Amino acid sequence: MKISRRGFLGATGAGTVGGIVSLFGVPKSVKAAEIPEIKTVQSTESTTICPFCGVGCGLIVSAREGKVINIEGDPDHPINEGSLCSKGMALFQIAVNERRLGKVKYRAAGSSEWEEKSWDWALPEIAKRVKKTRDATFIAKEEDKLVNRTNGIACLGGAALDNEECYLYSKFARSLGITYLEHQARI
Amino acid sequence: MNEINTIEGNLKLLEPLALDLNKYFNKGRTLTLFKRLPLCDETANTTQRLLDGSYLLSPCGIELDNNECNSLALELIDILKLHLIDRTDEIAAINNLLINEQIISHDIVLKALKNEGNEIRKQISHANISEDLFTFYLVYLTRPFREQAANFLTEKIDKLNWQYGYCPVCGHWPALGHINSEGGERTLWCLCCDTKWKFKRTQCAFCLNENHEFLEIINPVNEESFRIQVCKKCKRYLKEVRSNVEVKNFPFDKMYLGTIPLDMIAEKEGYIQESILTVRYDNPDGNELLMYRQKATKEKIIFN
Amino acid sequence: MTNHWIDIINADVAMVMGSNIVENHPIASKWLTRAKERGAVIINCDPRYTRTSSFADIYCKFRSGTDIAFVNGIINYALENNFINKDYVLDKTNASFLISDKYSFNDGLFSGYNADTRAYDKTNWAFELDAGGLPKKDLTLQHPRCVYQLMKKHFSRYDIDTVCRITGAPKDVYEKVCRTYTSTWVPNRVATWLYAMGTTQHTHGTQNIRSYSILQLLLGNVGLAGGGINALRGESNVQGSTDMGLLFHLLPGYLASPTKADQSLEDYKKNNTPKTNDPKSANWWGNYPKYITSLLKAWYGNNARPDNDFGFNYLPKRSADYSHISLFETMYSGKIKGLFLFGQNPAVGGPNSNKERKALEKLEWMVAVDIFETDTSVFWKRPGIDPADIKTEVFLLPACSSVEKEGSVSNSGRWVQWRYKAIEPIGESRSDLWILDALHKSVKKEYAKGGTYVEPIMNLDWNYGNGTDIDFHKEPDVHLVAREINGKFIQDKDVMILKDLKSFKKGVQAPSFAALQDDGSTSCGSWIYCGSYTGHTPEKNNMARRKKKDAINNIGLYPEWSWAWPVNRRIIYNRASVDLTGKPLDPKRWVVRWNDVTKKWEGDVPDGPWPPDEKYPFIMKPDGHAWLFAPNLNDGPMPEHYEPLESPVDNYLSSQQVNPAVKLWHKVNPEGNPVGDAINFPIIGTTYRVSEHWQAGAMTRNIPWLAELVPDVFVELGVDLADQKRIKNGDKVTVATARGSIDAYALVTRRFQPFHLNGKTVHEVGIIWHFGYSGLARGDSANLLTSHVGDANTMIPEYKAFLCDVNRKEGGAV
Repeated sequence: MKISRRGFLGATGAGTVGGIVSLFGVPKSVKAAEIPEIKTVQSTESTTICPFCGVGCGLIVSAREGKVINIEGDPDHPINEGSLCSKGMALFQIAVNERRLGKVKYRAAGSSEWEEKSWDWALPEIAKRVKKTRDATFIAKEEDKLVNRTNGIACLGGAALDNEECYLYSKFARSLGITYLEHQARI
Repeated sequence: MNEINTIEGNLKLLEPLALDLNKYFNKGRTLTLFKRLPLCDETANTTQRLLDGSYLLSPCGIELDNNECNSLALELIDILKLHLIDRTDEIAAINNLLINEQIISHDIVLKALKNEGNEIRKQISHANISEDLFTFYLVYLTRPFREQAANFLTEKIDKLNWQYGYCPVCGHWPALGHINSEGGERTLWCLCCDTKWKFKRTQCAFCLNENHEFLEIINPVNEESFRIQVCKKCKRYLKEVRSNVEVKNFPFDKMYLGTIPLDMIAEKEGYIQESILTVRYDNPDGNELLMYRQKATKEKIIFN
Repeated sequence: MTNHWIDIINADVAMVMGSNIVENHPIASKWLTRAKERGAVIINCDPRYTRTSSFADIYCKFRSGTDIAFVNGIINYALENNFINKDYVLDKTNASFLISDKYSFNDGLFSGYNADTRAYDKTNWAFELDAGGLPKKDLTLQHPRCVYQLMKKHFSRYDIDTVCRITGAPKDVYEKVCRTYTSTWVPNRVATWLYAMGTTQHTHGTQNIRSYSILQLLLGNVGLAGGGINALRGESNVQGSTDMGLLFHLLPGYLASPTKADQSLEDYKKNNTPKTNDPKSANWWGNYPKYITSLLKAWYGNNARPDNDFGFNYLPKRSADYSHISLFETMYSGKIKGLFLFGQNPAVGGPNSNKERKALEKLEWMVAVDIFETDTSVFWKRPGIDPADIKTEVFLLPACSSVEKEGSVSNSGRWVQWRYKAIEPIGESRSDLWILDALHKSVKKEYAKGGTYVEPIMNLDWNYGNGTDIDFHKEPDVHLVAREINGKFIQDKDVMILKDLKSFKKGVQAPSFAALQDDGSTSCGSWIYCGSYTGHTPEKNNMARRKKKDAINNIGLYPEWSWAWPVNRRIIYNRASVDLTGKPLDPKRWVVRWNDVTKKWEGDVPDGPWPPDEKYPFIMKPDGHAWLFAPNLNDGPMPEHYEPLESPVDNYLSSQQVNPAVKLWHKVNPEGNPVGDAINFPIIGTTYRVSEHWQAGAMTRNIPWLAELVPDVFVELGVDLADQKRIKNGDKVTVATARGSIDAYALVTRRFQPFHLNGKTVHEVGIIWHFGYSGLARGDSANLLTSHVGDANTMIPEYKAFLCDVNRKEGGAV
């Protein structure tokens, strides 16, 4: 697409920056040829939806160098129109909080402590336990009727997850034959 | 620290100019600049035009008051002389053109209102005036006229229902964004006619890009109420000021002039100022404008 | 919600009952404020004078657990005074249907009750059918066995005096509530009903909502702008998690999870697909076979074929109740060995926490996925416990918070909104999406070596763009998951949609659920989300839309902001908002209208495209009518007042003290389930939340700002009770029930007033339930007090009404 730029003086968009600067970079009270030296930092703004209640307020998250620097109500969101409650305003402290978990932890039977572990260790260990329990408790038939389920493993949670995560959770749990599948909606 | 190296410092430096320009605008507001104002349809029609994304000012049938126009033209020359000492020769050249009637103030204002910039350019091509200075002169000369037209056109509308990045009245691109520190909403400002309209915070006004991965904010260190929103898609940028001063009391002109270092920063980073001095689209019903507007409308999902 | 948040502005009367919206959904109350500014009357009914009460025009107190008596009384008031929208009731509800002559009601029991099984034979309440299989109707509403006459008889027992004796509501205020609310029976006045957990958390929670719905239908308030039945969801995605089937009885899209009776896909379809002989009934659930087949295709891909019943038998089949309480009872008995927890904290949030915490000790292993340590994940080091005694292995996996990942959440108004990732995950935390992907891949790897019934795992269609191995740095592509949920064509297919034949190419995203098929040519992860992601690029992600422009009816629908299920319909049952010719009942804030020239609907997306009188409006019911009389519920076709499991008074209306259809866990599993009486525990207890904390507190009690705002647990009690007990504001007190006791600070206010119940004076207290032993702000959990007993239909625990005692703690003031 060719965009017409016929304006007065036919000035191109690019041309005017230099123009203005050469005009005003050196106003009366300042010596000529001085050019400002101003340091800058870059940040991003992205939209999100509040993770607390079911109103679904919009927020704008500002981030810089990989860290959240500010969270505020999204003024353009039709429901909250920029306003937030005490919890929404405190979302910043979810993103920036030294109590957040950053490592896999494991607590051995009878232990009084957590141990820090790697994902590489934890995932196969969990899988082994899932298989052991599932295989030991699997019921293929009940009174001659096919049931194909395990009552030995239960799943809880989901209301804090995204839809796509809930969907995979549902798919994953059913594939194992889990029927004790419940979450916050029940309570 | 040299005050030129902060935005606040630049604001101070340029305050005298801003104050004088303000006086000039205020004077313009007291005058009857039009013998006949731009045509204005019924309010309902105006509202519909805004809904359709067509800007309002279409200056057919306008008649200016030539005397007032002339006195404003000369007054503006005086302001420039006082504040732009490095450009004395060029300012004198403009003055001469006016005095020798090689250009007629009401004629160039009318042409500017009609977006017929090339005509004026031809007229002054022989004089030794750089384009930027003359453009500056023309924008401010025309401003009182556009302001009055804007007030007239939007008088009866209680809410500007406008979803686009260009000015709903005269079609120019915004010169500055105001972000309310309290509620966070953004208001765009048109330098050419002083119209203000609300626009989404997280969207590029120039290409309507909403993908946050292609939008960035550049802040001067320690002066974070000033910022530049840059769009990595269309490479345009917008200067913004976050302020707790309400839009109606906010000194847009002063802020626009005082934040010129932000223009330099943006340019250095490779971003382009979408000229506020040109109308990107020749007329509100042009093809390009239609394409721009269509970006804002996505296909509707229908039942079945 | 049938409607949505912004729509509250359109109401003339707003009833807030069972919710404290101003406290718990503060930003939503903005729309209540706007309604009030428009002249709407706000009514709040609550045992306690709350922030919402202070905002309301009319506040009426009533005792916890007596909603049915309260609302049945309003229904009776409407029926007695003929304050009903008769056209609406005739055209759109089952008021005219005749009911089986086996139906009867006597002393709190409906016909067909079996005391041994504590269950009803519901065939006693069936609709009477004519020779063609259609419900028999009496459009004069005079037949003694028509629903309308049965209702008149049933509800006549709830006269104002009786209601006030049961509920403790002041008579003058109650009359005013009746008068004000029923004023919306005229077509151009609309009332909305807003409720939350104050309604659902009772042994008769479902019937509470039934009573609201019946009233709304009689007044003609359902389907209209400013009307509807609106459940205020308490969690950001509890709507979506339910939509995705994270409940034992549901698959995604509200399809029933298979039971033992469903031995084949054919059985399943037969058992679940409702039928109608009425051509005017859309009977939308008639599409059941399309949705289940498409779901199986989404889950098992090429391994879902006609010759293996589309993998139907890969799905587990249930043969009992596996709901939350039952789950913990089973865990307590030692039969559940392993537990996955994704962001849930039952050690605080579950009822009868003492029992549930002990149940956790029986686990062999627990995998907890969360952003903070929760009370549940550290249950093995809770106060008073020796960790050495607990053999449970615990894996605590660090998850991302909402700003560190991308995906969608569904709000209470069914708006599915997209969230973007602002920063990379913190430390080694990963998104739940990555964790679930890694768990599936790890388990699959384990089963590759063989094991029990490996097919459902090995054949699962699972490919989200990050390879078959687990890579710490490769997230599954959330857009691929979202597109799978939306659904697509698996082969070229011509589909009749309405009267148009449309051709779809293999691989094309399905445009709406009307395109889904039952022959395996389409896949769809959750049919109600079909239409949410209609192409292969993010531009077709309709959930991410952010255009703030209202629809032509200007009632705040914002149809291009995000996407709402189903099919972007913002107000459901909206065909009930028009008359038989398609003209809006309330023209000044119309939702949909039929354009006679274009022969199309305008406004919101209608409940089906058919012309106005071609189909009945309630398309999800097999007969197309809203059910005033609902013969499918476990505890009766009409709401009847029963007392909570623990109550200080006898049921004034019948000899049935408690809902006869609830499961009595204290009888089945007495251990850990004691029930208290009014002699030892004379005070009514209830639980609630405060604005500064959220649910079980795992997030908010770890946020310094919020922990500082509300640092301690408190029990709120009235001045009279406090005087009687010599408790002063700020004293440390003990609250005890038959199940446990907690320490709390006393908050003495005039917000709790004693109830006068048929001559007896009863007090009520309330405790905030956010607290536990982990986190920055700690305190005793209110759920140590609550019991294992649930609603007769949903099994939601009865948190909101129990018996307790409150006493000053030895040692006095703190």
